[in-house]
Amino acid sequence: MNNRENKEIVGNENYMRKLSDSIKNNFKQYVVLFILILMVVVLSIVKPIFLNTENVANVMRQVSINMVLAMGMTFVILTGGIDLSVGAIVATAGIICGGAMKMGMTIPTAIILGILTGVIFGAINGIVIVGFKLPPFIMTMAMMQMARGVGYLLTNGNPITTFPDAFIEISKGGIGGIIYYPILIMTGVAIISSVLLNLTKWGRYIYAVGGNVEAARVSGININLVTSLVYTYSGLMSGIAAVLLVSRVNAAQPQAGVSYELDAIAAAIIGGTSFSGGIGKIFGTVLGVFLVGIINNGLNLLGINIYWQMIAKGFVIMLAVIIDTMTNKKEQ
Amino acid sequence: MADNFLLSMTGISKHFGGVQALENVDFEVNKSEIVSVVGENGAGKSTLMKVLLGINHPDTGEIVFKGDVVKISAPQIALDMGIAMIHQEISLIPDRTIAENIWLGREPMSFGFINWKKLYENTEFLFEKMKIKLNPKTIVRNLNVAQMQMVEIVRAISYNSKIIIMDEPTSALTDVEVKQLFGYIRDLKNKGVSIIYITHKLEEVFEIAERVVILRDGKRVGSSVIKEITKERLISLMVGRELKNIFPKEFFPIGEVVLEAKNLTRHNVFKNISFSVKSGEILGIAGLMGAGRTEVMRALFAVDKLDDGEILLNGKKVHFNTPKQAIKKGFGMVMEDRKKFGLVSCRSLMENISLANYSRYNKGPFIKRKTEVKLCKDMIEKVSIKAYSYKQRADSLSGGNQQKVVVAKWLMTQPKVMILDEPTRGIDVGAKREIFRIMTQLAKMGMAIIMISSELPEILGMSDRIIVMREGELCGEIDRKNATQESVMTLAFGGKN
Repeated sequence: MNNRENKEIVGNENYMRKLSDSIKNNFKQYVVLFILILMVVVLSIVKPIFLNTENVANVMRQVSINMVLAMGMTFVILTGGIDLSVGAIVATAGIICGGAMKMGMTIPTAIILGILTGVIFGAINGIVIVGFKLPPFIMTMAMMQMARGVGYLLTNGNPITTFPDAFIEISKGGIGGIIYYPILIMTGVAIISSVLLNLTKWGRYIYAVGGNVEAARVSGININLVTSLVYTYSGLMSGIAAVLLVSRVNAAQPQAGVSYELDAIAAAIIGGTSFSGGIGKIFGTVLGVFLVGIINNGLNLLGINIYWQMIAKGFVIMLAVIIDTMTNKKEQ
Repeated sequence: MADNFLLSMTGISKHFGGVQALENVDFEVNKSEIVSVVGENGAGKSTLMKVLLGINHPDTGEIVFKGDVVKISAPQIALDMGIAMIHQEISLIPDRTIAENIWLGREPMSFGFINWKKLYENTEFLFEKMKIKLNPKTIVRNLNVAQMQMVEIVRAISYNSKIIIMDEPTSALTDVEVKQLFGYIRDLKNKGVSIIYITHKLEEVFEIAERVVILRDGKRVGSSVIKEITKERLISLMVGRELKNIFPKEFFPIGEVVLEAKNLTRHNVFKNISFSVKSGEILGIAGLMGAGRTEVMRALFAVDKLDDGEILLNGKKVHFNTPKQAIKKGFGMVMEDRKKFGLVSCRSLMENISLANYSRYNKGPFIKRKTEVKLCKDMIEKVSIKAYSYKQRADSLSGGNQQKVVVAKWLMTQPKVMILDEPTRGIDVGAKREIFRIMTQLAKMGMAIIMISSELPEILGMSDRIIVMREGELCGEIDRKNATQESVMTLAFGGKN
């Protein structure tokens, strides 16, 4: 009896359910967006300087590296995996890029070599993970050590510095002095990532593998290829981030990029990417990146010391995961 | 009367959603008695045992244990009273010792630390009593399956159990090990312990049990002292239900052979399975749970490896290494476990339906959104999925509609051979009828259909031909005209036809 009544109610409230479903499905993104807006409002009241074009452009430039890395990380986490080697790959890819310039190669060649380094490390991650069925956590942790070791070996621990002005221009220059190239690059990377996830077969397969790997396999999907490509993509992102970083600090050093993977993971998780895979959007990660960036920038402006910033960031990550588990519980 | 029994359950009813799992069931056990509970899949055996163990709570009914009315609200209470169960699957921790496993969570303590000496002494004491020759310090991983079963039994005994429930304890045992196990069971009985023995293997019932209780469709349909009942009578009691006509079966001329399987073998799982399916034909595969039906189909679809055998599709030999190749050649398979192998629950209806079809409808890496939406909407209509949007998450649908999503996914691949493994499990009668209607339509269009089902009426109602499997082997083929519940069940239980 009860069932029949339920059905009738559902029939009448189709529209309401659609609406509430949309809110439920995007609940995490809404929360992050709300917090983001709240922070912007509060900060611009307390510190009007926050909304200065200068500062806005500055925030954008600061978040660009994490944005690029978080795109790759989102792909990885969507398959239910994790990539801890991101920071180390950034350092070593940067060294290859910087070293190539020092050896007299042209800037484009150096950039391509640097990015290629990231791709290769990422591909190794992917191939070993699917080939030997290693847990991604373990493999990328091992890669974190190995990649950084390579960086130290190549440089003997010394930084490579002073690059051509044209290379520095990548991070310092821009259109009209405001739209810096890093902003353009991160926007481009985010759009491409979003297109890959939403409009290609590979994107759909990533969601399917993360949501239910067995069902994906039985449906005829080459799960090994899908998974290894995801780590390769993360490597590619690390390579791009490496070029941005070397250009910004005008130095390539083996100890660069420490704990960059944690900021990227934080952005993806805060943005609503489910740690168990299958759920998440590029738009969410973009919000997550800005939230992490604004926490850093805002607390800086307010003169709050760096230790408090760490605590604040950790707290936000914890909160995001609590929301994640709570909404998932409701769905069951 | 009731106070003569060690345990008596009276008038037990239990429903799950709209399904009446148990209806007014009485059940009783004497002291030192070996009583067997038999019934088809889904007859209510496990639910009855779960009620006794406090895992499920009955809607109505009374349980009297040792003369007192008891309320078993949690498994711990059942254990404390002396009712223990040995599950079909071994539930030991493989890398710990026998003794640690037996006393897990109840280790003898002194000064806040585990008293290891006492732990092993206690175990040896139990082993002596049971005449078991095993070293309590052996790591469980190094035991064979029968020995693990013994450890499970000793653990049950260690709770001072008065009643031990055994659910298909011999499914993984060799003949010799079964003899050994039966020896232990008889020893237990002589020590005053009662055994409730649940099995599909009727020979075992006649060998070990003193009394048998028969369940069917959640009702108790009979009980007898084992000496006063024949195997034939037992089977007819188990299956003797009327066929309800929910099957929209239609008859039309059947075409050529589409699929022919020859001597399919997977070591230790199934062997020498040969069958064929024609265009427009529905081939039913009957058998008890664990007979190897699902395993054969999984291997055919290249989910598991096939060790030997040939597959001919339209007379041509084919070989698949992955499901992807099987799909390309025109196979589709609705798997048994919808949650595990069918749905990506956290994704939308459309993504689920499209999942096996992206390569078919998109040549390059990109997806044609409009085509995808249109194809999915058509499919949703065709199999009449009740949803308000194709964007809806798959896990927000009812079980029946979820199943239709999986069916829709495979329909879209336009298979020549469609395999349906337990297509109606866990869905309501209305949705079942819908699934059957779709099957009929597909057969009419010339598809070759293979259906595994553990529900006999379904097999009888929908199949044109039925093959029966038992313990990894093909044990018979019956034409629709000659198929009756009794003839299929007799084959499935290993009788002569």
